[in-house]
Amino acid sequence: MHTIALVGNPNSGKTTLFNAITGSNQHVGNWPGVTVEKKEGFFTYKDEKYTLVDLPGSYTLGAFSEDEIVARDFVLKGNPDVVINVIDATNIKRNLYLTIQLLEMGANVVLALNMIDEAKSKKINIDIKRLSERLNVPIVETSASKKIGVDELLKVTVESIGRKTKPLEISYGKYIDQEIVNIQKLLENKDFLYPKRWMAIKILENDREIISLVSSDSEIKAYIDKLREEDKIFELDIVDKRYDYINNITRELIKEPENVLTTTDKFDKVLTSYIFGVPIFALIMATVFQLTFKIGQDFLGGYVESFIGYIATLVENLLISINAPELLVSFISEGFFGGVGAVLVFVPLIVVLYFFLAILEDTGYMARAAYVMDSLMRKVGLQGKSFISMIVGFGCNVPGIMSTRTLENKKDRMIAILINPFMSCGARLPVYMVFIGAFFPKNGGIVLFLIYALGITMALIMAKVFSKTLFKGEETHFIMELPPYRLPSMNSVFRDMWEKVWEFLKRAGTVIFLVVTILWVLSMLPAGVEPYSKESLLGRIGSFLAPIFTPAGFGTWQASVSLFAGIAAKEAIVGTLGMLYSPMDLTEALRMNFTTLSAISYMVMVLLYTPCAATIATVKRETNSAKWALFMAIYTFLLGYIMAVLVYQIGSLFI
Amino acid sequence: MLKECLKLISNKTVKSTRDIANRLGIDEKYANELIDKLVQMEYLSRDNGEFSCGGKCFGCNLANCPSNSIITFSLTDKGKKYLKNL
Repeated sequence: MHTIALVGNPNSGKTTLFNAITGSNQHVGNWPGVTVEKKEGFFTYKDEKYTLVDLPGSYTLGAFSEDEIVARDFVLKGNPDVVINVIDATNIKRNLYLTIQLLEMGANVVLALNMIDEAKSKKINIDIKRLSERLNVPIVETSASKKIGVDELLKVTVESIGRKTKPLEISYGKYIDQEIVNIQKLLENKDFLYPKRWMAIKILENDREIISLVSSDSEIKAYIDKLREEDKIFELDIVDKRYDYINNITRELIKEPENVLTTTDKFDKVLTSYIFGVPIFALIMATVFQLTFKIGQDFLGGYVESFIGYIATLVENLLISINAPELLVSFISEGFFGGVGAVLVFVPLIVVLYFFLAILEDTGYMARAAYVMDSLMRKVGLQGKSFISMIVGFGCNVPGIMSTRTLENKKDRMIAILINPFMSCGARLPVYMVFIGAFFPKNGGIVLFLIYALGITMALIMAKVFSKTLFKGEETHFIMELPPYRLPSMNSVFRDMWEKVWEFLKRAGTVIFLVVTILWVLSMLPAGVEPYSKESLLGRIGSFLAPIFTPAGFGTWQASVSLFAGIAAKEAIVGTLGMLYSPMDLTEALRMNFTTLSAISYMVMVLLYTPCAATIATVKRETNSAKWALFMAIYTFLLGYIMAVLVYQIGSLFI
Repeated sequence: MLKECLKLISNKTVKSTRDIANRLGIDEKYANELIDKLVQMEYLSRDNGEFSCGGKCFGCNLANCPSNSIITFSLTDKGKKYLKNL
């Protein structure tokens, strides 16, 4: 019984064609020794039965995967009478690479130009007659899914059985051709099942499988070792020549319509433009912050605040009505609702901000953001890929730092880790919002945008400083894949958003609750002292620290304590301020204790100073060094402090 | 084309496959194919931008490690060595 092999690129319609030819007359097994599926079927043509073997889909016949090795071994050693090479006519240049390799092997090939109907509808014009002449193979137009051309293919295949073929000999250039001849001579009279010229080419292509096979011969092995010592690896040149060969053929015989700009291309012309890319990115982010402020704070924030206030009063009244101890009432109303409640008020903001960021991510815009920022990043000694970890850091610095694992270069990674805390995480958002609400209610979006922009700017400046001082080294070379724009999937947007919100809620219920509880206890001690007063333990600690911050304009004990509480978790800053100023409305309290200028310097401090404990622990783990974790904690504190002092002192000259 | 592609990446004059297509005067589909080929031949490595933190990490309450969905291709040691010997 004659055997016909079916080979083709993945998605070329090979399996559809196999099913169209064999129907239900097929069985599935495994190729011996490997986990690659073997599909075999049978068909009858003019009363004669034929075996059809569906070889694994593959782009090349190298030794890069088991699929490729199985496919090429069957073609070379399985002795199929005909090899039907299924080609996707809409992607013919790519598919012909496999064809050329089959022809170099000397296989008896019949080309099934599949999906021809689609190619025609895409106005791809193929001169089939001349292509058949140039390749010296029969070509049949098919559309396997519509069963068009299948009978003709079988007719031509059967007629091709016994057709005399000669392996295709491409010239790879004088030098490589000479090496092919040299190796061919060494292979002569050796007992290998493969064609000698093909083996010689594969050896020069650095094909592991063939090299391993011939290495049993000491003479050939010595020759290969000599080539390697002289760095004579020609795989790229050989592949390039094959592509040249294909291009020479297809240039004349295949006419495709001129590239029409897709919607993605049109958007990218503007969004990734050298001149407008960065300003557009800034504008988009400014709009996101403005919308966050308008929807999250002005619109939804009020409802949540009223709701939490309502629940707080209800619980407090309930506790009083059941004669609960005064301390418990104080803890619940001032500690819990004043502290944790002050943080929960910002849930709508988190929801809105991460909703918009998830949309930007899902549409494919964030890849463009990394693209447009790349030039800027390279100027400061970083690679654009580092911007990705910075974007992740906007959610939380812990995964932001973890994501630097994708940077191969140690220098890039260390810098990316050390600058990540300047990416303002979601936990710092409530701090900005409460101050913006108190001092900049009409320009919230712009102020928020400026804070984030300052964070990015400081990150870039410090990256430059680090790359010039602590981490000098070679740069990584890379390119990005820009995915097509797509409409955001609401499932994915809501899932991303929910993860951030859930993180925020969990931290409010755990870390923040714990910090607020400890601070509440400290503010009640020693016994008999007026709660939340300067004389309490907390007040004394704060008063001791406060002078440090006087040059920055916020030398109050409450501000000092809140900053140190923020090292446990940034949301704790608002929680602490809310508790310490309770029962007074936090916005009012801030207006009484801060000036506009000191509010700005305080926000700058919060943006830049020591990151939270979780982030510091992550730095220790990721760098495997307590020294770097300590360095991170100290340098960010100093930087935040210096910047806050500069803002306040320079600002005082004008305000 | 493959060599030119590698050289462009090494010179840092391109940032995306589209840039490569524009610089080499080929269509983007073909540029993608060249990149795939270089990845297959281990001159470039593909990074899907995913990282695994191996479970819950202290201080991070995210249910899953975030993926940034940005795919990058970097020169491998083999690629760098090849370019050095050119």
